[in-house]
Amino acid sequence: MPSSDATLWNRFLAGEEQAFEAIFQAHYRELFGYGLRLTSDEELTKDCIQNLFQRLWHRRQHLSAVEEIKPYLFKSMRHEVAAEIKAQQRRSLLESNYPVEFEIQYSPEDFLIAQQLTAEQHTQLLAALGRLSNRQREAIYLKFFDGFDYERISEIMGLNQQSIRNLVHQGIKLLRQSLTLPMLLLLLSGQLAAAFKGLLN
Amino acid sequence: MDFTQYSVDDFVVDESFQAFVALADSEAGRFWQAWLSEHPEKKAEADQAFVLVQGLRQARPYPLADYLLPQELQRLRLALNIPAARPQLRVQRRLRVLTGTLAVLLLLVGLGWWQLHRPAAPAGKAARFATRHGQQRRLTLPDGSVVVLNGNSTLTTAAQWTPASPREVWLTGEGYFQVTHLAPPAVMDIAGAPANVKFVVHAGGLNVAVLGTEFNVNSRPGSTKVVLSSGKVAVERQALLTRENLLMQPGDLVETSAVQPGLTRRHVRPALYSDWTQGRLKFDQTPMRDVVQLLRDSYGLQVEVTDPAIMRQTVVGQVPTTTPDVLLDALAKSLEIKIVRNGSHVRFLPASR
Repeated sequence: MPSSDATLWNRFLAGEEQAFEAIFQAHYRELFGYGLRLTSDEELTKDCIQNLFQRLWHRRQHLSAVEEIKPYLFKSMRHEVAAEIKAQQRRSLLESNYPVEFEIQYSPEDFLIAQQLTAEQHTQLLAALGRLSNRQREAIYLKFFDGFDYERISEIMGLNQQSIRNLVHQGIKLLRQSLTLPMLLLLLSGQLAAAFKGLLN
Repeated sequence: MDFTQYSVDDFVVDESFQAFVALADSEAGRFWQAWLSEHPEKKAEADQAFVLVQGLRQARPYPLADYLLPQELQRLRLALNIPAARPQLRVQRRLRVLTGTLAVLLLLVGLGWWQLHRPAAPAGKAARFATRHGQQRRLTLPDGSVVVLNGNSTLTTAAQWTPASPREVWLTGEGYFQVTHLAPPAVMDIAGAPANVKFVVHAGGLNVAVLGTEFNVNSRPGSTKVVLSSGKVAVERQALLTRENLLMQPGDLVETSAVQPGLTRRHVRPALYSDWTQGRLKFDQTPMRDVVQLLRDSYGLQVEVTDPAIMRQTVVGQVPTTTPDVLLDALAKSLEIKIVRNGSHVRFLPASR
């Protein structure tokens, strides 16, 4: 039986505007969050989502069926952002004469920060995240916050599964080295503590 | 699999362990609970792993303003020509019939008048982009051209550009244009270029036609200015019975104003007029004369300088472009002068000793 995602996607491919708008509305928030993490530029992110969906609509006759919409959109969004950043850099390259890196910046700002942390914990976690590479941060975020499995992350980031596993593994290792044990224990608070206690009893 | 060899990190990156953290009452959850009760020696490591996975899962989502989703959905509909709902379609049709009738009537009023009345907005469906005060937006147009809109500005374009028509946009406020070149390299003459490779900006009585280039247009009440960074631009001004044309060179500033409607041209440092797109102004041995000109052109300030010695100085440094006050403050400090601002009137005075 096809998934509800697959059915919705097929309705969109058949040219049904309602289905297309439903996809836009259902995924806008997470695409916006993903785009901001990649660019930290709100306008650029909005434009990329617009371009992405305009392209989808125009090319719907050439698109194939998908089982899951979210990873497909994330992958396309990443392409869109990378292309836009590259184009921007090419333009600035023409103006200035120094070389630039063609790399997506995966911002550590404010991301991966649990809500109920004190300012000090917040700072410490940010600093720890700042020590990761862009790719490690992105893989960890897609894994834990967006909840993708390794296979999907490898599709989105265009790397093989083993590389993704390595990125997450190295990232976690670094993260744990930078965080002290008391810090880790401090993370254990409120509902988290309760849930945890219930599990271990 | 032998989980007794698992380190904290191994637990963290294990997808089945992650599923357990997500939901204790799942297949994976029940498995790990059973396993942990059989292996109490691994409890300390599993504890740490659990806390870390839980902490990472609870990241704060980016805030999304309530108006954004409907606004962006509308923008998408406009771009793709998707009607929002049926009733609205009918209203639009009626409106179009009405505007059509009005246009015919206007035509009948007289050919002379008709010639003056260039369209003030694109016919048919339009896409409109606006910025609030102090907000900047970067837009990519259907042809790949990029426009950076400064605060308090509006850009209107046809919702779709056909390959056969010129690319036209309507601007109020300020915008920096990077226009994609569509003409074959051999076509260098703007006037003679076929309509479909031209890009035309309509702003405050001026038509700015280009093939592909970078330039800044500032159209505020009272005056409109075009500054060319690179390439070639043809500026046209249509008045009651006259038509004025001017071909700009890089570094040119062309202006028309209520006080002096005829096109005037002077040479400026174009970077000063596009720096706002970077959110800062950069001065590098910039003569005060240029700075004073910038204050007038970009911020609409009337500057009065009592001591000619001030005008002979140069400035070095960077300031954010948020408000002119920041710039004035920085100037007062670095030149060691006194700056008095009264509305749009600014006086530069030698520091009193």
